[in-house]
Amino acid sequence: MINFKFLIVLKCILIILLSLSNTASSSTEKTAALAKSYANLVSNYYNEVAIKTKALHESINIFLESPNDTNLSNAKNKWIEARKVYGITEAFRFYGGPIDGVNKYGEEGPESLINAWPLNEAYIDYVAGNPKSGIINNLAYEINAGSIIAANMSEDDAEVSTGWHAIEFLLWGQDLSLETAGTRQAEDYAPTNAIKKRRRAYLKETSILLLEHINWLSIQWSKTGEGRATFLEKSDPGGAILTGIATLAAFELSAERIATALDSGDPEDEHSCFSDQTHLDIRANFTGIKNVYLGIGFNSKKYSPSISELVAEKNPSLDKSIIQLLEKTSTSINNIPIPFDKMLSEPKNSSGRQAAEKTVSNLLVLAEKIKVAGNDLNWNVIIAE
Amino acid sequence: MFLFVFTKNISSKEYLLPMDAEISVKKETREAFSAPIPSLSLSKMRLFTGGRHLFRRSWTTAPSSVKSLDGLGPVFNRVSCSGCHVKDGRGRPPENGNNFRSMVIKLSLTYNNEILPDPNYGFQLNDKSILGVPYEGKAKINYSKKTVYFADKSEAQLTVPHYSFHSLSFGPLDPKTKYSARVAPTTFGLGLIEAIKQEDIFNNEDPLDKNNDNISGRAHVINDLPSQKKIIGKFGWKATRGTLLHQITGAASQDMGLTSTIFPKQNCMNIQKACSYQINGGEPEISDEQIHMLQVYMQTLAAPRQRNPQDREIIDGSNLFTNIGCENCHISTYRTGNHKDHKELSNRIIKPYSDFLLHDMGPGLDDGVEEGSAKSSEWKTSPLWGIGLVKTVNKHTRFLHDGRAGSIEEAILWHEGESLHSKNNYIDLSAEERRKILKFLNSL
Repeated sequence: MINFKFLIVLKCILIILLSLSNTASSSTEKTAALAKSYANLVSNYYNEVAIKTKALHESINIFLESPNDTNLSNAKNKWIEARKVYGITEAFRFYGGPIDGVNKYGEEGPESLINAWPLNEAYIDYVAGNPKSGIINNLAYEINAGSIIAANMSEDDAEVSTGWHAIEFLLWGQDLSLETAGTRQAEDYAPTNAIKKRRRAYLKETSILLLEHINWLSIQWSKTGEGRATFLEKSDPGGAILTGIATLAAFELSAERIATALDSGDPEDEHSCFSDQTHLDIRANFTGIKNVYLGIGFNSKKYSPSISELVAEKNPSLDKSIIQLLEKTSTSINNIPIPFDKMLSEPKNSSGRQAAEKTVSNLLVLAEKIKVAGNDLNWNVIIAE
Repeated sequence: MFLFVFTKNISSKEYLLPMDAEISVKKETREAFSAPIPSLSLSKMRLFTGGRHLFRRSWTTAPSSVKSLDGLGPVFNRVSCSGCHVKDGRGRPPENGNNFRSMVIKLSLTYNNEILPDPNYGFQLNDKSILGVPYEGKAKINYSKKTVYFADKSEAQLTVPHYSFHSLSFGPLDPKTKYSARVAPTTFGLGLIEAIKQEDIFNNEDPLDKNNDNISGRAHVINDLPSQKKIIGKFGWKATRGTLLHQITGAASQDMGLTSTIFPKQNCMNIQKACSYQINGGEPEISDEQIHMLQVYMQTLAAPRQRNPQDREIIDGSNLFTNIGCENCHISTYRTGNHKDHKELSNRIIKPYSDFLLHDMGPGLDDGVEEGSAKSSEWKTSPLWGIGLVKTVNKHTRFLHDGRAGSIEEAILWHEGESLHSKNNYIDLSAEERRKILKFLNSL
């Protein structure tokens, strides 16, 4: 009898142990599957950005060949098209991945060369009140890829020499009105004098640099990419994914890009101030957060398992409330008037500003909920580290 | 190995702990000094990013279309905070005769035991100005070399700076005026330093050197302008500021020419007529609200955590650092007290590696400028956290108050006065041991 009892106890213990190891291994497997589907999603988006950035680069070449209004406006459109996708990929920042981490060779990711902001435009070219300012007007400064990289934030954080916003300024020029975006003339790029030739060289070099950096990201995340491999080896890939979207929500988008613009007192303290495309930046960033959560790639391609599916298994009501909040935030973002700078110039309690404030607070709540989701799944989510 | 460490303020168990993760970050990118403390509540993110934006924003000549951001100068050194504190990091002397970018020259003369500004140029040489106002003047640096020998007969070169002035708009400096070049210090971890308990700093004082170790550090008790209280100075190369509010408003006034409620007067000496007659950018030019955002930003920038603390050589280096006496002043560990504005900063284990006391550093670093009760040869022990990341963040390795040292080792070799004994111990080490100490310092 004693032996029999003992066997039953032993059997129970074995069953418990087996089931424990089952849960452990199945949750590890699920996280590994998520990491893989996330890597595919990231790769899908960076490939798309690479295609669109190449189109931008080609349109800039055509514009430099024939610097006329049609070609300038075409290049601007290509910039906007590429930005719309790039903004989504900012959800892949903030956890030390290929975009902003240090790899095993000690190389730092290209984020600060792609998207540094705020940008003091007088560092690059002429501005109202100072026709001779900037690197372009400084004949002693040689313009090439190396010198432009060396000049980036070398002596002041706002002295940005390259990336999306540098190209934006080179295409649009300063935005001095609330009614229109910047109104730079195509004539600025006619090869008729030394300064204009320097401006042509500057635009060409920054365009090449941007394309190179985007292509590098796309390769890092490709099937055989080292960046992807490093990501898949992470001990807590789920924590990294959620840290990325929660930090974009609470820190970069809510606080840095919307709230700070609301508080600054200068309507041109908006993210894309030369082109007046800040509304698209906000939408793209938000799409990044939402699509990473739901596992949606470019052109609605589905990536499974998604974060949402894993959260739903653990805590269905939390998943539901996150999805509802995503909807709500989407609405408040759509309610922010366009252009953003005009909204910023409105009085404190205007309806436009209220929609922006609503977005700020929704994004903070969203980040809190993402943290809770991480906690439920036993993943470590640290905002803005 | 017997380790003698100062653990007056902290138990030996806590001394061995790493920095608390809630207030420190582990990054090795150009952003290493720019992250908020991980425990910062989401409701403060907006103040943090607002402060960061102001920190990077260029100020303009008044009147301008953006009223909240005008009032620069009339005379100044830089148009933005981040112009000197690039990426919240460390400034440097200019290269090859270029303009000063992240470094200023302090001026003062001592007359009848009183510290006075230069009569025409004030306490700081402003080398830039707004249109229609003369700048004060420019400085230039030349270097000479001197050789230092280690016990093992190998040698190191030290660079000695020599300053000269030109383009001075109001005649020569007063013959009695002394000058002191200062690079911009790093700006992370400052809220944590604010939260260090005063008694923990007083505890390490030994002004009469009763313990006979030739080290007689003393706290620099200063008058905190915002609160009108006598408190310990913790900030600045000579510990002349005890709160970040005082530090920030002082820098806004001296470096950028911005008036505030704490420093309401324009920074123009009597002889500088054009400076005095300019339109201002409001009274004050930088509002209390803006100062508050900057203050929160400065207070909540996280400190970088040590990298690879388990590395055998780094542990050896750390032990050597302590054994040769460096930690007598570069005290590694504190538990913070209560921070009145941010509970996130309170009661945390931090590792700044400083006693925040003034020490006589010997004639080599004595430039003749006194501040408060700090003598010209006395300097505050510099915190060492983040020292190994300066090359990543700021792309240089220039150290000491005037950036004269071209490497961490050169900075060690400049130590004299109260630190002479430790410096000599360092010189006596083998090349291998010196390498381990530097490896340890580079891990901070």
